[in-house]
Formats: sequence, structure tokens, C-alpha cells
Amino acid sequence: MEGADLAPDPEVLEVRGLRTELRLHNRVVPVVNDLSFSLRASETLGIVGESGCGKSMTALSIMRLVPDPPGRIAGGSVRFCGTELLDLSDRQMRKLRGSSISMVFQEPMTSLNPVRTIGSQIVEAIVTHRDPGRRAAQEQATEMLRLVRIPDARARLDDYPHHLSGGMRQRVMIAMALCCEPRVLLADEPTTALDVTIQAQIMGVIAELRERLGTAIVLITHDLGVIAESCDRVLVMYGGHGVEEATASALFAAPLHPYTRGLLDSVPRLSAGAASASIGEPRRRLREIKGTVPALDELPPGCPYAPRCPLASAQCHAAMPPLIAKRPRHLAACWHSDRVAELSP
Amino acid sequence: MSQASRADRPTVAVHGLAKHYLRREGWIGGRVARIRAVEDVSFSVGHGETLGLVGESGCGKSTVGKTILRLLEPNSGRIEMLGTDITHLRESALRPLRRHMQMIFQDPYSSLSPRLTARRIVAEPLTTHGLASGRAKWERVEALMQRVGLRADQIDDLPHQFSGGQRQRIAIARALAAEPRLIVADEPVSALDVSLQAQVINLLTDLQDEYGLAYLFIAHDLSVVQHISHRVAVMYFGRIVELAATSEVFAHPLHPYTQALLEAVPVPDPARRGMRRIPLQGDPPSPLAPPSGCPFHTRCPHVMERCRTTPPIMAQDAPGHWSACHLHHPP
Repeated sequence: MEGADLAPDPEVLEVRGLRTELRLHNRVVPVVNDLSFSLRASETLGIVGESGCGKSMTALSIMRLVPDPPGRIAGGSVRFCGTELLDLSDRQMRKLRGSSISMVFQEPMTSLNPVRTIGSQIVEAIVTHRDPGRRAAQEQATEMLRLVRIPDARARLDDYPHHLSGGMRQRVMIAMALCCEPRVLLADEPTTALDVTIQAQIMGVIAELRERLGTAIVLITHDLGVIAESCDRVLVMYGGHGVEEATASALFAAPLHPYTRGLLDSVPRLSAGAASASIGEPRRRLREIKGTVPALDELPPGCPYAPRCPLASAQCHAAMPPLIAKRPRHLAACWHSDRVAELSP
Repeated sequence: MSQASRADRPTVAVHGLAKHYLRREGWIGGRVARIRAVEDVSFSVGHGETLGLVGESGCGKSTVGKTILRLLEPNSGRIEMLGTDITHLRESALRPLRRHMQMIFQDPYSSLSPRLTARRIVAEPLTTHGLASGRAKWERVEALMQRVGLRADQIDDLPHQFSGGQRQRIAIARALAAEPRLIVADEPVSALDVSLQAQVINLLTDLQDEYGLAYLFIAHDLSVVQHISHRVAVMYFGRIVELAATSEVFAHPLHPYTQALLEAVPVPDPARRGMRRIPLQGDPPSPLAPPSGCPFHTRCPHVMERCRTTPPIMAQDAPGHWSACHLHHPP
């Protein structure tokens, strides 16, 4: 990694050893713990995990938007096209945010200003970072709305957020995030609040924009279906740690972490051929992961998944395994990854 | 229209149910708009049966659930609970039946009183319906807590001391306490983490097999609905557009909306990526400006002239498979 400064960096985003902490009740709680991953242009990396696993905090750390207090980025490195973001001044970071790296949040209603038209909000985003003049910015805003497939784009510029449906608002957020053609888009549960038919439309829009603009995307979600349909690579997080990283096809075909295996097995799969159960006849039981998702301030020592893991041994309770390559381009943080295949249904 | 008349009497049967809301537009003296949240909905749920009710947000599925429990007053139609017409029953006459009809809500954070212990929450229906008192009541509460998988030492904890999945278990124990015959479960697992959903789904199916409960299972997650339901009803814009056995709905969906809905579900298998056709375009229509004819005609890929003018009616395409679409029912 040391020579990376000399050669042109193929990675647009490189996160190394990132650590973000919250100070709660005089205690320091790590919410992102020694996290590393990288992202190339036009690539989509999925970050999957459950509530409190640190996936949103990872995105906020990259954007340097962790609320302080109580949060603090305590260590590590976030390099964007070779620039160390953690060393930038607030002013330099503001210039980058929204122009080079953008973020889309889960709830578009709380991210849009309710008393301003969507046109003025998109124009503001454009004018803040490059000043093409009002008229040109207005043109660009219309073009962006067309790009995210909002019908009758010019007329929509004068609408207020409450005039639009949830799906339309999320398109506006994506249009705003992409109006300066960022190199990296961080999308945090962008379709979680939306219906499946609208989700399919939005994911289609994001995929199309990636093709056209070459944007690299970090897609944060808990939905394994969304991950499978749109990501090249996947990072699984648990208890603030990255516990597995692989191509989407390798991860779904042969996961090497028991948590990933458990997640894949616990979701019912839609299937066209399944027979209806007769009334009174016992149905197939879903495979459960025992226990509950740990709170980040109650993480056990050692591997955070050990208390729920069917493979856990004394070693797991004592020490956190490192996230290392178990196969080419397939990383897992598990002392017993060679035995995960035994867990298959 | 009786869509699923069974030999035995259904636990709940609904005929032509409608629920409208009035909304005044503008200030004083404004026009009053009638929003038809639920229109001409008919179905039944039998002993030990799960009917899945699916559709997108705002389609009226939660309103159906609340109306059949008489938490909302229907505008027209008939609701029969265990053979008794409860549509217009006074509250005092309804009370003895209330214990047989319980509800589980999506958000266990807001459906449990934050200041009552788990013990008192679960005991409440026992007291209200006079089912048990004194020692017998607490023994029953302890048995229920144990049955839904909560530890005995948690019984005097407050809701915030439980995790989301455990809170949903308390809500299930409370619903079970009154020995219900019907449980309306409105998105009972969608607020839970993925790894906890399976636990709650398994608990619900076990309890059904054990007590012969009838479930109206309202959800937007089609894979969960497929797993848990015996039959499925698909709603769009306040109406049921398709109703059939689960295997029929998923293998041979007839209504274009059902087909589009199934098409839109992301499949957790990267090998099947790119096999999806063009997703459904547009948004559902506004209830303030309902479309003429079939409410789905504004988004339907197979729209015909007749769809714009004439609303389709439910008809049987195969035994037990109903749909409301002109494609399948030519004039």
C-alpha cells in the first residue's frame, strides 16, 4: 500500500483501519472498528448488516458528518482519489461534499427543505459547487430530473416536496446528489421506505446513472435481495466490524462467515414452484439465528458474533479474528471459516 | 359474493366491505372529498388458516384489518365473526366477541405502554375480559411469557428493556392471553432485524398449528407472505384484485398488478440478476382523483379501451382462483 502515492491510484475510495467512537455516559464505544475496504470507478459495493452494526456510521465517517459530540473519528484513513479526507479542513471538506462525494439518505422527506421548491434546492446544489449562472443551472436541474425519469420535469421544478410521492422525492434526492457528477455516491437504505415496484424503478435509475456517469456506489442496506441484484462486491458488517467481503456471487454461493450463512438461511425465498401448505399441516420452519442483535455498548470481548454462533469455540470468545483472505478475493473474519459449509441447510 | 365458502363455518367472513373517509378541501366551506379507502372487499378466513393480504402502502390493507375488528366503522358491507353479524353490533354486545379477535401491530415500540411491565401488559386482557384473577392470572401470564420464548426473570421489565424482537413477543403474548380465534397481524415482522424475523415467523406458525388460530396476515414482503399464508389476497387502490391459494398466486398470477408486484421483488441470488423485465412504471393514483374504470389502467401494460371506462368485477378463473381483470373476463 505504501507505493500507492506514486502510481495513479485505481481506487476512487480507500478506507483503511477506520475507527469511529461514540462517547456515552463517560464510556467510549467503538461503532466502526478497524474497517477497511476500497472502491473503484463504476463499481457498486454493498454494505449489509442489521441495525446498530455500524453501516450508517461508516458512511457518515466517510462524509465527515459524524455528529460530534458524541461521535468522533478516532483513527484510520479515508483516501478519496489519493487525498486523505481525514486531514482536510472543514472548508475543504465542504467543497468536496456534494460535488465529488454525495450521499442519499433513507428518508427523503427529512432531507428536503419543505418550504422551498425542489427546483431551487437542486439549483442551489449546482451553484454551490460550480457557478454556471442561474439560467444554465436551471437547465441542468431540469436535465437531472429527466435523468432520474421524473415525468414533466420542467413543471416539477416549481413543486414543493409535499407535492411529490415518496418515490418521486427519492428521485429528487438522487438528482441532487448526482447534479455535480460525483465520483462516489453513498446511498444509505435509499429504497427501504419505498414499495417494491418503486424500489425497482429507483434501483434501475441508480444503475443507469452508474453506467452513464461512471459513479462508484456504496449501497448500504439490510435487504439481501437488493444486494444480490445490484452489487459487484459485498461487505458484511456485524458489531462495528467488517466480518466478510467477497464478490456478490461468491458471497451468496458459498459464504465463509457463519453470520452471513445465517442471514441467507433466515430469509424466506420467493419461489414460483412452492406448493401451498394445507391448513393444519405443519409448515417448513425457517432457520433462525438465535439470540438478538447486540447493542454496540454491550459487545462481548472477542468475536461479536460468538454468543449467537453455532461454531463458537473458546478462541472466539477470547479474540477477534482478523478479516483476511480465505480464498482469492474472498475475505472473512472467522476462526472457523473452513467449517461454515457444514452449516448449509 | 362468497369467494371461499368452506364446508365449515369460517372464523371471519367479510362481504362487500367499504370504508370511506371524508376530507374537507381548503378552509371553511370547502368541498368535501370522499376517499374510498376500501371498496367492495370480500373474503373469509377459516380455522387454522392464514390469509395473506398484500399490496403497496396506501392500498387500504391496514384499513381492512382495523375495520373487520371494528376498530374502524365500515360504511357498508357485512362482517361475520364466528357466524355472528358484528357489522352494527353495539360495543356492549360486541365485548364478549372482542376477546376472540386480537391484533398485532407493526411497531412494538409504540403498541406497548412504556410504563407497564411485561407482566401487566400480558395480564391486561385477562382482567378486561374477566378470564382469570389472583394467582391463576399470574400463573397464566407466566405460562404465556414462557410460550412466546421470554425468560421468567424478564417478566417485571419495562418495554424499553427488551429488544425489538422481544417486544413483538410481548405483543404476541398479550394477543394470545384472551384465547383469540382470529389474529390480525399488521406487518408484524417488517420493523424487525432480518435475523429476528425468522424467530417471530416460526413462533406465529407454531402458535397457529397449536391453537388453530385464523390469521389475517397483512404485509408488503411477498416472500414472507408466501412462506406463511395458505391463501393470498392482493389489494390495489382499496380493492382486492386477485385472491387464490398461495401456490396459485405465485406460480400463475393472473392480474397484471400481481404479476408486476412479483416481478419487482428482488431475489437474493446474484445468478438470477438481469432476468427481470421492465419494472412497473408510475405511481399509484391519488385517492382524491380516482381513475375511471379499472383503477390499475393508468399503469397497466395490457390496458384496453374497456379498462378506461368499465370497472372489472371479481370472477372465478379456476376453482378458488379469483381475479378482477378484463383480460381474463371478456364481455
